[in-house]
Amino acid sequence: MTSEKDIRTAVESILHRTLPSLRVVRIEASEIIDTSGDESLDVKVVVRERPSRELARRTADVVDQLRTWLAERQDERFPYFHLTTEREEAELAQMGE
Amino acid sequence: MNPEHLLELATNEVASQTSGAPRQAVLRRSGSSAYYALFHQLLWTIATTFVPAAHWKARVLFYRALDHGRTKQRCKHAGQDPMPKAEQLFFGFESFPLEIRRFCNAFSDLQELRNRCDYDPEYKITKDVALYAINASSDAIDDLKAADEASRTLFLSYLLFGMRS
Repeated sequence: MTSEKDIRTAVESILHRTLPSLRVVRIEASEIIDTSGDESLDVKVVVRERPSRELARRTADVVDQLRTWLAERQDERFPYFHLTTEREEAELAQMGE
Repeated sequence: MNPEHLLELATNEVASQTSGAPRQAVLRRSGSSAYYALFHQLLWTIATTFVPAAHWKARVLFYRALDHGRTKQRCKHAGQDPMPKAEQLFFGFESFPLEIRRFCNAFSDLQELRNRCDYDPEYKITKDVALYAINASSDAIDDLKAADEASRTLFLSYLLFGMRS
C-alpha cells in the first residue's frame, strides 16, 4: 500500500500539471471503507476558490492520472477525490454544531 | 426517461432557494439525481446499442439488466489504467480509452455520493458539492457519448456480462 504522504505528494504533482492555476491550501488523503465495503481513499483538496466550470472538468483527468499512479504501485484502492474551499469547510462545521 | 431532464431538475432545485442556506433534503436529492441521470443514460445506451427499436420489450429487459453494485465494481476495474491483470488478459489491451475511463470513475464517485445522500443520516452536503455533482454527471454523459463505438460496445458488454473465470 502506498503511504498517505506519498499520495499527497502525487496529487500535488498531478494538480500542478493538470490544473496549474488552482490555488491549493492543503491536501488530505486517508483510507476509508466505501459504501461497497471496499478499501478506498478519500482525497480532499482544499483550494482558495473553486475552479471555473471549464477547469473543473479537468478534475476527471486528475482522477484518471491518480488511478494510474496508484495502479503502477499495485494499489487498486479507488480514490474518491473532492475539491472544497475553506468557506465550505466552515459551512459544514457549522451544520454539525 | 431523458437523463438531461433529471439534471435540469437537480439544477433547478439547487437554484430555487431564494434566501438562506438550501435545505439538506433538497441538496441530497440533487446529489442523488445527478447519479441517477448518469445511471439512466447508461441503461438507455445499453438498450439502444443491443436491441433494435422494433423490439420494445427486449429493450425494456436490457434497460433493467444492470444493478448498481456490480456495475460500480466493474467500473472500478474498467476505469483503471492499466486495468487489473485479469481484464488485461481477457481484453488483450491495458486500458479502455480516456472517455470510458472518465465515465467509469465518475460513475463510481457519483454512486458513492448517492449512497451517502440517500442512506447516511449524518452526511452533510453543500450547495457547491451538489452543483459539482450535477456538472460531473453531465460531463460523464458527454464522455460516454463521445467514446468510439467499438470501445463503448465492448465496455457495455463487460458491464452486462463481466468475465467468466
